[in-house]
Amino acid sequence: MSVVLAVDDTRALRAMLADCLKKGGHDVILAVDGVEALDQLRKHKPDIVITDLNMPRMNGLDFIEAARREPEGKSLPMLLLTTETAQSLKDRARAVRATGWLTKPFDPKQILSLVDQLA
Amino acid sequence: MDDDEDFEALFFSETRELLDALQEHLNLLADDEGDSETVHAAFRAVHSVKGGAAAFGFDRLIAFAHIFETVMDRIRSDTLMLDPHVAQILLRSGDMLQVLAENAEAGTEDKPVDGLQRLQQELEVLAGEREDGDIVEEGAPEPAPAEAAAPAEPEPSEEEDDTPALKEIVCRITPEEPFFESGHDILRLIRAAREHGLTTIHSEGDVPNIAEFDPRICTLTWELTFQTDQTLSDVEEFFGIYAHTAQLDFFQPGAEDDIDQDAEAQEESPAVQETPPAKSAQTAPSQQEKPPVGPAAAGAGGTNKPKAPAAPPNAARGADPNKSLRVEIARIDRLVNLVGEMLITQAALAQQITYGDEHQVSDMAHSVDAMSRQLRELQESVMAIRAQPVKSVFRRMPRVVRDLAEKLGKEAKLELEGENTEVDATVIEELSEPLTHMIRNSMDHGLEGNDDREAAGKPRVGRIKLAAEHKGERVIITIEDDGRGVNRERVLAKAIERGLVSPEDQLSPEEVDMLIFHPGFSTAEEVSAVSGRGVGMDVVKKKIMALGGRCSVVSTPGKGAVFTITLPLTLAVMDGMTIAVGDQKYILPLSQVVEALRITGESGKRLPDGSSLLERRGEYLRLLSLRSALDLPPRDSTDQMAIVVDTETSGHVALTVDELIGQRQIVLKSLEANFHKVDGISGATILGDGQVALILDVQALVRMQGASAPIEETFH
Repeated sequence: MSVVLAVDDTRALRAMLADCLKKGGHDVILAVDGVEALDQLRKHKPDIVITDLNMPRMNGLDFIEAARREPEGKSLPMLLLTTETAQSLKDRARAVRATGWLTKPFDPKQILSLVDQLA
Repeated sequence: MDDDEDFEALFFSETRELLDALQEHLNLLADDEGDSETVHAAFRAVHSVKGGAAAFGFDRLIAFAHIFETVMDRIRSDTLMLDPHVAQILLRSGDMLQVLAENAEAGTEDKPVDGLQRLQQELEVLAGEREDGDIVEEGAPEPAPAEAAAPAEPEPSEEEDDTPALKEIVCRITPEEPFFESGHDILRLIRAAREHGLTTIHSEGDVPNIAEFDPRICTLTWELTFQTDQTLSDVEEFFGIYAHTAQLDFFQPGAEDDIDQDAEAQEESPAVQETPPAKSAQTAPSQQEKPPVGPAAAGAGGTNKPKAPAAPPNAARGADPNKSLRVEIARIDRLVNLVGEMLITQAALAQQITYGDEHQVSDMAHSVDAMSRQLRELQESVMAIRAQPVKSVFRRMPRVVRDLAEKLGKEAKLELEGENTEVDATVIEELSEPLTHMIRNSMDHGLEGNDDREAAGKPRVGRIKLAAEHKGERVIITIEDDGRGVNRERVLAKAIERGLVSPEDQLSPEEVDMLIFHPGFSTAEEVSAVSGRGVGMDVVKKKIMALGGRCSVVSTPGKGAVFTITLPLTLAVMDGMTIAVGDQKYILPLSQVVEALRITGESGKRLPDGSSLLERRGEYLRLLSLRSALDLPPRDSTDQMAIVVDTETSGHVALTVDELIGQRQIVLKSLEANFHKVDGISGATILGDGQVALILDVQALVRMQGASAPIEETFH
């Protein structure tokens, strides 16, 4: 079972993600934006990260870019989960070394199988 | 499903906060006071609402938020100029979003909404998705919400080849440069693939010698062969997450021509980037055409339930039992600590009582002291939990001013002060209406037209200031304008015409000003769209009084007027004066008590019509016997106490009581909730000895005693 860091500025989505992941038997750490997520990453060394894209203070892409420079984040699977679909953003995601791109709304089954697959 | 409803409640409560914030940002933008961060914040708010709505399948909300978001995005990227016209549309869109969210919450998502279609089209014009002249007038059939939410249309799936027999499926995967740096691991991939029926692995390519080795670059291609009962699209879904950073090719050796067919079905996978059929070389980004939102929604099962009335329809927001409050953790911590301390005190007390002897009486007294101190603190802490800044009400007001300014053709500027002043949440909810009304009043009657202002040597733009501050146990809210002040001549003329005062009465200027609070008084000569809706300041006063507050006005002709509202910090606890009439104790709200007097035989005077007057320092007050009001026989003794109360509508009135017991804080209990409404009684409380005492509704009692409400309490 893995430690999952879930990052989203929307409380309801955080709650839903946490619920889904906990039901899958994972430990969940939450963060409301990239700044908090970086902090949690250093503190808890999660096995996988699922992050929103649009967030205040530090968005998901900037967070992943910053996290890749941290020892804890170097080879960490970090998935973006967003309603955005723009190709330019997906290109950017690849450039900052995001592990994958998922679209909201999320499918709990898919999230769980991805966590098993990647973490 | 229960969980879903919890999440829905959470979503709606968060949406309310988001929309409030959005309103604030849009106001700033409309005032041209926003910067790029304001635009970002507004965009994020709309985006978050959309994201949440998508999770619960509120199609209309999604569709509207989507186009709204697109427009905000264009402003964000400077593709669209934010001019006043656009700002107006944004403001209306903020309102619309609120309406749609409320409908969704009430379970009436499909209810037709006035102006939705038009506004949506206006947004589409701004978004560049529609020609300006192409706005269909209201009344034309509204496009189905699903159509606007087009990306949510799921591709019909063609999943027929679901035979249980094992098939052979081959996937060739060549990691591209970002693969390893993106947190992928080929070993983990292979382990996970076993679950999907992976049987054999071949690797192709050469590993370069160590001098040329670059750990980021993978020179190998793996060919993974599956023996599986899963469909090709299932396997593709498994690999979908790698499509981003690796070349993927799929084969199905046993089948002919089947890959093209399956290429359609693989759209089902939300994570899969569109994989080119057969052995095309690369997952080119440009081939990602269909945003995979829809299929995911379809696959999400539980989260995308039909919008059956999941949340019970709660038309009135105030009555929402699911309403939640955000409270700082520190406040809760304080409570927990206090309760802990009290438990210790209680244990000490119990011990002292059990083993108590004479010597321990002082210890016990000490413990009781400690307990009452702790209780007081506990009470304050509990109140603090419900305390919320008035900001939530105040920030709706700029909007009111702007809308009115437009309607009245007056320019005005609203200043806010003390928005962080905290008041009990129940009070805050009730404040919105009176405040809106008072702002309206200031806009309509207070401020002059811009030209008149210039002629009077004032700044062209009118100024209204809304401020809040704490003063002792009360909150003071002031609404100050720099307009013409109360028009005393007109007020007086109107009051005389209405028979509220007689022409002979000599009223001081202040008394004339206060007339505007009198029931049935409204200076609006014709019914204007703004304040002449048959409600005047008396309604404001009634509302404020119901909250245990007072209001007053200080006006300086030509310079402006200051309206002041004072409110108790909470509605749950109030200061009361305990009195006795007959063998019962009653409570008078202390906020209404002016003074207590002892009545001697000579100070009361009986009028021919049976009513009595009490002389107080040369003035006469109406004297009302609580005994007769409560249907008790008159008392023999002439030695009575009189409590002078301020009834606001009937001025000062003296009430005779048998005995004055004292002041105390009382906890209000609703009589309506526990029994039924009784005229003249506003509630009940429980006294220290366990007795129930009724709280008198002075206003109603005076009215019931047939007071014809003389405005002026003084007879000279």
